[in-house]
Amino acid sequence: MVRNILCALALAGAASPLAAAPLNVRVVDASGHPVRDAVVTLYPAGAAARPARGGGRYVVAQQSLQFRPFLTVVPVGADVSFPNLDPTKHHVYSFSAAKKFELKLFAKDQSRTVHFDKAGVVALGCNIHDQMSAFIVVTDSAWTARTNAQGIASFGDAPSAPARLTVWHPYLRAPGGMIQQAVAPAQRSLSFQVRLRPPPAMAMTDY
Amino acid sequence: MRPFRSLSARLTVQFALLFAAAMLAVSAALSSFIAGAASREVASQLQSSGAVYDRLWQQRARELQNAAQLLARDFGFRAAVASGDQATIQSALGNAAARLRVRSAFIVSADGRVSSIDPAVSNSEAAALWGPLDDGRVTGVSVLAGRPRQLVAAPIMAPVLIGWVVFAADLDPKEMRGLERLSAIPLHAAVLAPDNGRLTQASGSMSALDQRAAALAEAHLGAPAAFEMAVGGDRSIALAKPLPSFSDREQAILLLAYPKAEAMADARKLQLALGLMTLLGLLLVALATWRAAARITQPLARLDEAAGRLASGEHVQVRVRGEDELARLATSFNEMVGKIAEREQRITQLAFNDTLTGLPNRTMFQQQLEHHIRAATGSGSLFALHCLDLDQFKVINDTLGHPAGDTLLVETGRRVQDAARGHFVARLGGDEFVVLQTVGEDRDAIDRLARDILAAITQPICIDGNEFAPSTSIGIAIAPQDGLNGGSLLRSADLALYRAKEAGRGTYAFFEESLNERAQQRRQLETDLRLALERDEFELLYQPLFDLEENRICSFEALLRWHHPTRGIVSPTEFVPVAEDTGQIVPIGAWVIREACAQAAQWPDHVRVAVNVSAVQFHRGALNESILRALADSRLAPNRLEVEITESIFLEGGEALRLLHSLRSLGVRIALDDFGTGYSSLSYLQSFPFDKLKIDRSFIQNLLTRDGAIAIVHAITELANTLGMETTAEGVEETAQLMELRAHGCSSVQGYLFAEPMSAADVERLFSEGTDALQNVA
Repeated sequence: MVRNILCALALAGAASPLAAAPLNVRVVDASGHPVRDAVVTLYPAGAAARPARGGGRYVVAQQSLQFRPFLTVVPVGADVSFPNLDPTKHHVYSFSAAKKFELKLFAKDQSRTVHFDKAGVVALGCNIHDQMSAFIVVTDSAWTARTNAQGIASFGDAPSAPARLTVWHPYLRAPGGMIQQAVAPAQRSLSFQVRLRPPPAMAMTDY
Repeated sequence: MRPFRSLSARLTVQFALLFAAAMLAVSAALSSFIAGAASREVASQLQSSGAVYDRLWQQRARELQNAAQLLARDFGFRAAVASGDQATIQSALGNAAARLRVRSAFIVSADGRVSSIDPAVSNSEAAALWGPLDDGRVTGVSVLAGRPRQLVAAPIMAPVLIGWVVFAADLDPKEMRGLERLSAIPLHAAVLAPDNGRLTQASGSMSALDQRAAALAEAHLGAPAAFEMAVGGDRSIALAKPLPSFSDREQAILLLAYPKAEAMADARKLQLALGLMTLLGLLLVALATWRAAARITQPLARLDEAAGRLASGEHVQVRVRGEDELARLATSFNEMVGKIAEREQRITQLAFNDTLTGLPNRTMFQQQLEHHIRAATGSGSLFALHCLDLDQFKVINDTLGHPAGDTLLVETGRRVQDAARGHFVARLGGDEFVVLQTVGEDRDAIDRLARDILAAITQPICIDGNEFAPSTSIGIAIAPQDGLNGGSLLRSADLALYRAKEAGRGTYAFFEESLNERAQQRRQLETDLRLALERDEFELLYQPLFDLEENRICSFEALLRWHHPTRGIVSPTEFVPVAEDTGQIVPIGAWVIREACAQAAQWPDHVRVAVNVSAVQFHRGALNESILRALADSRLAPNRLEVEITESIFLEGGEALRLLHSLRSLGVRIALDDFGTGYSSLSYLQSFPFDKLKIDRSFIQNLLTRDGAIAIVHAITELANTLGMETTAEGVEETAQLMELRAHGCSSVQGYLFAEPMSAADVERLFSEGTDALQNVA
């Protein structure tokens, strides 16, 4: 499903009247290993900017005391439903600025839908199960990609215009979990080395 | 020079020093051990206190952390933080802080914003903690608002990390004192936390450390061993433990200090006790050593003192204690003293006693005499000195032998001692004894004692089967009248003794002043005698001997006369004994022989000259040489010289016969004078062939009046004829005597009947005028 969105985004880019060329971004951790599931967003300046195509329906289920999937990238205006597939109760919440909400899903197969109308990262938690964690990245740029197992995110039709590139990862050690960098029009390849926190779930096992 | 004159002092000091050194060494080792043990004990207590503090620290940290986590996980709180609801945040923080009794609590958000309830802690200060918080630090020490504080943090997950709750517990004095009270020992605790390159201190009762002390603590940080440092001017034993710091860059320090004075107080008490015991021990050792030394040296000192007293002549004995070497030494010393005393007594006896009789000797007598004189002059009392001399002792000694003489002396000594019991008796030598008699008022006591002695001595005595009655003469001098000193008194007693002897022996005589005069006269006589030869005061007179067969003068006997310049003619009976005593008889005798020979050479050839020779002259006078010289000088035929001797020459010993024979070999004639008197023994006639016997005048004087006298003279002439000897009768004064002598065969006669002694000149005249007158008489 994510791949479909990316393909859609890529097709949208390719359809741009401006000259476009592929842009590759590579993210590695402190020890040089590729970092997957980092969300890379390109914000071309001025007229080159284009919002992500809005709408669409997404699902973040609660199954086996986990959110599934862990990371979901959605365009602004998307609706995400939160079905409870577990026999236990869940109390899904978000304190994120992009979308604050609370869903008391106390019955099996009970599902509620939340509309995300503002770009930003939404961190999901369960007030009953601390170890449950998931992220929804609500993006407002058409050029949004997530790194693959090789740590590479590719934009096939990145416009040749000055741009701002952000890299976000749930465990990235930076304020807001995000770093950003300006990209020159001619620049077709970027590489980031980031520091990651250990996953909180692991830290929580100490307790 | 030796430092100690006394053995006991030297022993005491040496042993005391030795013991002292040993005790001091032991004491020093113990003291050092005590100090070391105390130090180790303190260090160990510090370590265990440090461990306790660690646990307390962790416990406190956990308590705070639990509270922080509880707060951080509260849904409402998280909602408030996520939504930036400051009022809720502040109230929630304030509530938790009050519950925990913590003044400072604040939130550092993930993007570095700070929300605090403590205005003292600035936002920038709190924001600076973001780094360590982001590094995952949840506890540690950090300096906030200038004071070290214990920080604990808990992340706020919503569900991603949106910030941290931080509690900052103040490490104020109260807190630190609370920590200090938990320790088993009264130690001082402080936390030193780095703040801008210097250490900030939080402490309870510990005084503020200067930078040097802080640096020292830092240098010993984490060291397992305690160290010493100055805390507020006092030495302390300290331990520096690392405390987790909230920042990685610098280390906080927990400093535990134990003031050394307190730490070592018990050890000091022990050391003091040890010191006192050492001192006491030293005193005891000195005392014991001194006593032990005294036990050894006291007997030595006693022996030393006893030896000194022994040296000064005292008879000492030391007390013997025990059976050790010193006791044996004391015993030996006592034995030595006894033997010395014995030897001294023996020496004294030898020095002051006569070995034969056991009586005091001359030396002791002289001491006693001086003692008596001093006593007499002091008190005015009298004492008498009796001098004894055995009569005829010489004869007894010669005839019975010396052992018999000795027996007589011993017996005499015993008798004198018995008779003079209570008085001092001594033997002066030979047969001389003395008695010192102390006299009171009763002067007759002196006579009584003298008589008692005489009576005792005259008791018959039996020696070697021969019984005889000894007798003695006693001369008595009375002090102080008869002599002012020992010498003069003894001389007086001797003079008295001579008088007693003269008085007929077996009697006693007192000294009188006249005796002294006589003695002086005698000494004058001796002096004059020595000069008489030089002054030519001697003259020879010649008395003719008439040969009854030939009816003519056959010989002259030379008789000595002394013409004394003041006293006139002195009788030979007076001066000859003196000359014999002094030895003057020898030169005088030689002169007589020379003079006689010279005269005789002038006479007709048939006339001989007879010369008397004294026993003294005979034995001491080199008589042979005198005669030879006289014969040679006068050219007189030896057979014209007749030497007249008396039997007394035989008393002097066996030399006499040899001398007589040698004279005879010269051709000189030998006549035995005074035959028939004295100790005449016919054995002499047998042992030597005399040329002539001269019959003593006593027989001639009584020839006509006494019965048997003629028979004796007849027997003598018969005997002489038979032995081929001539006979001469002396002292013939009457014709009737001459008739009898002629009738009984006497060879020649001599006496006033014919002629008195005459001078040499008269002899010359006689020969020139003829001898008819004498022949007529015959």
